[in-house]
Amino acid sequence: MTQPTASPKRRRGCCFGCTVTALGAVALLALAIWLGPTLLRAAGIMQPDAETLFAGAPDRQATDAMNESLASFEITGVEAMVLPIAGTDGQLAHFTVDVDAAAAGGLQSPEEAEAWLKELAAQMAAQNDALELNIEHVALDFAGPDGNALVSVTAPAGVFEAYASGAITREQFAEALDVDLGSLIDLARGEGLLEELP
Amino acid sequence: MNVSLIHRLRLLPLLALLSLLLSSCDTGLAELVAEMALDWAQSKNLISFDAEGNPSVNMGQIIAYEAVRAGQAAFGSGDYTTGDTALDAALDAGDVVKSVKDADELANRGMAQGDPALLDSAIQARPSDWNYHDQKGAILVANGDAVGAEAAFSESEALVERRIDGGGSCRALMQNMLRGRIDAYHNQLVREPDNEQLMNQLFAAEDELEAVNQRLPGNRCEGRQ
Repeated sequence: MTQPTASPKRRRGCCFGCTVTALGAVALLALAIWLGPTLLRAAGIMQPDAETLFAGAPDRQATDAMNESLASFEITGVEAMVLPIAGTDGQLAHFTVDVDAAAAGGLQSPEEAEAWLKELAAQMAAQNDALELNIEHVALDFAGPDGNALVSVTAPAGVFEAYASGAITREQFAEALDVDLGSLIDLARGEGLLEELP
Repeated sequence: MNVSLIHRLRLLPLLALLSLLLSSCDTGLAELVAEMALDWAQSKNLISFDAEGNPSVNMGQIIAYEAVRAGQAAFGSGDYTTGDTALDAALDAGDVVKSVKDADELANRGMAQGDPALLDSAIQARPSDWNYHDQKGAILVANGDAVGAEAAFSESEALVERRIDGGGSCRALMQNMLRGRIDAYHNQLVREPDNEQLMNQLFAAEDELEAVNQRLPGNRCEGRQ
């Protein structure tokens, strides 16, 4: 009498294992992308981003005072917001400049525009002193007709004050700025301008 | 726009685009920004002028500049960044400003309607902004929910304490929080002018702010920076 032989187990082949491994790798990669920056920031390896540094409540009293000051000097097309900087007792004064609205105030020449920019910096400095706002940095977003910032510039408040008082020239002021051209480059790429360049 | 600038911009399409995009018509401010961008780009060697004064631009270098700058801003100092964390992050502060404005709109509607659910939406959008918790607390006081109000104020205070523990100025942050709370009480008193509880809490918050301002004994920041 012959013993019934057990039917051999069907091998699932290497495809199953490969698929699981690949899916695991993708999941790990996704997790690393998702959690990586947070972990690196927590470990102090990566610097905190803007959303982390300016996450608290804006200084709304300082914001109102700054906007009232700009309005009283008929500096139009600019909106200020003062944001406390986490980890310090300093603050950031952020100005969104709607170039079209600002121009509607009568800025026909670069000279008029420069006087306007200096007045803006002077008003910021005056409010900073008068209300002891402890503004350490200033950021300016120059926004196009759609409201999106095309160019962002930033510098320590002292640089803006020096420019407003005439202690440094426009060239020295420009050199001291930190500039983000990212959105402008994106737009240029979208318009196909980068491909047309020599 | 003067002739020399037009000549320079014709050779520098990126900056010409900046000028065009900044304004639909020629304005002094758009021109100033474009000229300052040229000054800045020259100072960073992103554009250069030959012996005859003809400008040239290295677009690859400009793009590389942006990529390197972003990396350096994320991981620390470098040739293209200031090395100052806050200053590097300030370039992206516009996104924060936009999110504050959006959340403020929800909060303002909530305050006008006395609807704490709209404040919850604002809190969800910006969970670390203690002002929204205070505004929610003021609404709940006005609506007679003392327990809910206390929880909202406690959450606000915990957020502020966390910022102080992280190195912020106790006095400045407490002033910020208490002013926001006082504004919220005033706002709700417009909706509920005869609410005695609101009135009492407003006076208490004003006393607390005065104590912090004058550094009176027992104020919230006594013994701290």
